[in-house]
Amino acid sequence: MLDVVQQYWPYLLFGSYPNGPLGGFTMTLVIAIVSLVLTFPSAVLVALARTSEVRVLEHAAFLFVTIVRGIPLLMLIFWVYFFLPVALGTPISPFWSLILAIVVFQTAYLSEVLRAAIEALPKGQTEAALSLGLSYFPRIWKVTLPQALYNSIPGILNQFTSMIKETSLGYVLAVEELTYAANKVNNFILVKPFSVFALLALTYFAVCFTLTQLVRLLEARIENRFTRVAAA
Amino acid sequence: MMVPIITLESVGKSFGSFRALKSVTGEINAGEIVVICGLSGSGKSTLIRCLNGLEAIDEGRIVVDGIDVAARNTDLNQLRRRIGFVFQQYSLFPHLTAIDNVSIGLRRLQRVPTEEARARALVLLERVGLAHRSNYVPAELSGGEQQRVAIARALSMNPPIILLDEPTSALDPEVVGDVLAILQSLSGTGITIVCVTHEMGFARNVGDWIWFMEDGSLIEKAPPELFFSKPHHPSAQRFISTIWRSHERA
Repeated sequence: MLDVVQQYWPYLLFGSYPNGPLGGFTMTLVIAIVSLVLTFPSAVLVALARTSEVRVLEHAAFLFVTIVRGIPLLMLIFWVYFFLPVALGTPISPFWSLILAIVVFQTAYLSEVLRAAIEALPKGQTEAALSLGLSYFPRIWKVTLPQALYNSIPGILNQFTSMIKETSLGYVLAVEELTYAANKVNNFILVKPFSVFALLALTYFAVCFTLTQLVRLLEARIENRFTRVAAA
Repeated sequence: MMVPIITLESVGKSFGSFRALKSVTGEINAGEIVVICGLSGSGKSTLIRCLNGLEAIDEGRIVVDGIDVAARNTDLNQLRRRIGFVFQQYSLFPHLTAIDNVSIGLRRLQRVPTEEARARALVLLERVGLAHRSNYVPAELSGGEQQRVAIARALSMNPPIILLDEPTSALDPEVVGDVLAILQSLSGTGITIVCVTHEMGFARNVGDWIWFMEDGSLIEKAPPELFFSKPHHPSAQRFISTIWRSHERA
């Protein structure tokens, strides 16, 4: 396995960059981070719609979440890649197709994490904000979201680990992320599939394991800070 | 002639098949202190929560400060800015410091500049004896301190009315006096106070009226001296003797 690393590490890390397109592990991180940055605000909006008292919004958000959770991500990727360009009349690059599919998919899941955090806040918080005369937006912005988002940091990071793994599906659209790069290396060497794919597995594991440890650390901290006030 | 600042006309409220309030009628004049008492489940909390629209009523009419609380075109947010509310469980915002809890209304609703809002909040914290704790978050304050901050928050918009829902029930006995002393200091300032409490000493010394509730009905309204010496209703008599007995035990 070490010889694979020694020989191919620049390609596995950066793709052909700087002499060609960026790829490899860096690309995996870029896709994951761009996806997270786009997923986060849309998940907040869907969660707010689901917890709002406007029935139309509530139902629309519920329908969206139910449908997306009922289909595999791979199928969503195909729909975005093959169908959306026809519908929009303009081609979408594999890179953005993949990100769009992951964002739609993860928005459904992350919005549920956020909804749970919003609904778990003590009822007194909303009542206290109402009693001051705060209208909807300052109430959400100053009272509900700061608490709910803080409490759901572990859940958000957890979804982020899922996202990192889901970027490997970029392989089917020939997005040059880590899995695609590893497969290319494997095709080149031909005789060492075990080494190549063990390296691939180890890389994903190392990243996700680090993140889950971070989640554990944060969970402990959040519990410490909020247990005393949870009853209030 | 006194003009009532709070008027209740045959107010009814149900939770499913449970009738929490049954035809409650009463008037409170500006500057008066009304103590609502009664056993658990008698509708005291529901009644006080109806006054600022936290609970919607099913029947009757509530007029507060000239505004019909249940009317469809009433802007509840506007009305609530003129009614302070203090909860049994304090319900401070845990992510904000004491001073930010008190100044959030001024800043968000009256658009008072941050510095001025904080200065005004500090004056209020001073009044409840917590100016030195202004930068603490609720988790770092004791129950009694949290409730004092909550009172300062309720007073922050300078409301003509303040409602308190069992403000001392969750507190340790030794700090109940601090909170009651603050409430007592508000009497005579012109602010109207409606307080649900089991503190009969407070009711007797500070209250102008005692409202006694049973099973969702307001069955006795009397000044404290009359209520405690000659209660009309047998349930009120029983209630008073129970309360005194438990006081003697304590």
